[in-house]
Amino acid sequence: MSLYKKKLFKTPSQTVGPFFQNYLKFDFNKNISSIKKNKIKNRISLNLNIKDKKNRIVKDAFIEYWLFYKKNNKKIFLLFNRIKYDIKKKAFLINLNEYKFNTYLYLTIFSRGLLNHLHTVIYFNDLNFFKKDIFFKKLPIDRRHFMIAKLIKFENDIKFYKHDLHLNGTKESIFFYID
Amino acid sequence: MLSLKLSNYKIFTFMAQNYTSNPSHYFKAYKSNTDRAPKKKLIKIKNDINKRQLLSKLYKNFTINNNLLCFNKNKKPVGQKIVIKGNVTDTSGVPLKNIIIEIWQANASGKYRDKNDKHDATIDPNFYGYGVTKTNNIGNYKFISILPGAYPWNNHKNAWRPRHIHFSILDLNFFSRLCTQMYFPGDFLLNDDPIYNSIPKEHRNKVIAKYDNKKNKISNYLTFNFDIIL
Repeated sequence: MSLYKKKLFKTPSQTVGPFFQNYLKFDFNKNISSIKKNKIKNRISLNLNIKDKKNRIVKDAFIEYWLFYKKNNKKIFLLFNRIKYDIKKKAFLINLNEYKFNTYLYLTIFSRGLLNHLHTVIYFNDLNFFKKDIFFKKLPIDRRHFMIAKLIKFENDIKFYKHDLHLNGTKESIFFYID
Repeated sequence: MLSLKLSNYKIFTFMAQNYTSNPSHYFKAYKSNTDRAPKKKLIKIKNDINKRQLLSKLYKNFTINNNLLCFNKNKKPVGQKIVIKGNVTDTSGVPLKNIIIEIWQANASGKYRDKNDKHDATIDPNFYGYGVTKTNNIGNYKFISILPGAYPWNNHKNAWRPRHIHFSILDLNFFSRLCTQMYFPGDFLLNDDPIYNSIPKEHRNKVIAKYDNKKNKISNYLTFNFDIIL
C-alpha cells in the first residue's frame, strides 16, 4: 500500500456579491471572545476604511477579524467578530480590548468584486511590539507602513485609531495567502 | 515559484492562481473586480494557530440548524421546492464535523431581500433566503429551500447571473474559510457568466451541484448534492 495519499482540490472560491448585508449575521452581541470581563483594560476603537484603485470607499464589503496573543511562542485565541460598513460612522468600526494585546490583528476581507477573500494584518503605531515582531520585519520594506494604524486620540480610556486598507493602487496593502 | 528562507519563517512570493482551484484575484471580464483585486504578489504565511480553541465559542453566536430558508413552515414560498445536501471534507477526504454553513439566495423570481437590488421583480413575503446549519458527525449537511431565479446585472450587455446560491463556510479558523457559490446543472447562462468562468476550467464542475433524487425521502422536492472540500 502506498503511503502517498492523493490530495483533493479545494472547492473554488467565488465572490460574496453585493447582497449579503441582510442575510449574514454581523456584530455579534458579544464578540466571540475568551477574555474574562474583569480583565478588560484600555479599549481600542479602530476606524477602518477599505479603498479601491480610484480611492473610492468600498462599502459593499464585510470584514472578519481575529485576535490572538502569544504565550510561550504559541498563539492563543482571544476574539472573533464579523462586521459590515457602518453607514452612520462612514467606516468599518472595530472595537477591541487592549488586554494581552501583544500581537497583530488578523483581518479577512470579503467584497463584491473580490473572487477570493483577502487576508491581511494590522499593527498599531503606539504599541511598539511590532518593531520586534519577526513577521513584521519580513514584510516588504517599501509597503510595511501601509499595515500600521495611526492613533488619533485617547479619550475615556479608549484609544481611537484610523486606518485605510487599499485593495489596489499605489498604496496597496500587503495581503497574504495562508498555507 | 520563488522561495526565500528567512530565519524561522519561510516567505514565498507567488502568483495566486497557481496554488489551488481558486480563480485568480484579477479577472478582466468581471468588471467589479478590476479596481478591487490586488495587483501585487501575495505573501504566503504558515498556519500556526491552535484552531480547536475557537470551536465552542463560535457556536454560541449562530442560531444553528435553521436550515429552512422560508419565514414560516405553514406559508409556502413561490417556486420549485428543493433540498440541498452534501458532505464537507478536507483535502484528504476526511469528513469534517461541526462546520458552520450559511447560505443566502435570491427568491424564485431572482430578487434578493435587499434595498440595493434594483431588479424589477417581486419580493416573496414567505421567503427569507437565509439559512445556517452545521455539519453532523460524518460531515453531512442539509438545507430546504426553493430554486433561485436568474437575474440581470450590469457587467456587460444583456448580462444575466445564472441561478446560484451563496455559501459561507466557517471552519474552526480562517485558514480554511470559504465563500463560494453553488450553481445548478445544465444552466445555459453559465457559459456567459464571468464569475463562474473565472474558475480554472478543470475545476468548474466543483461548484455545480449534482441532481440526486434517488435517495430523496421528501416528496415534491428536487434534491441537489453539493460536496465541499476545505
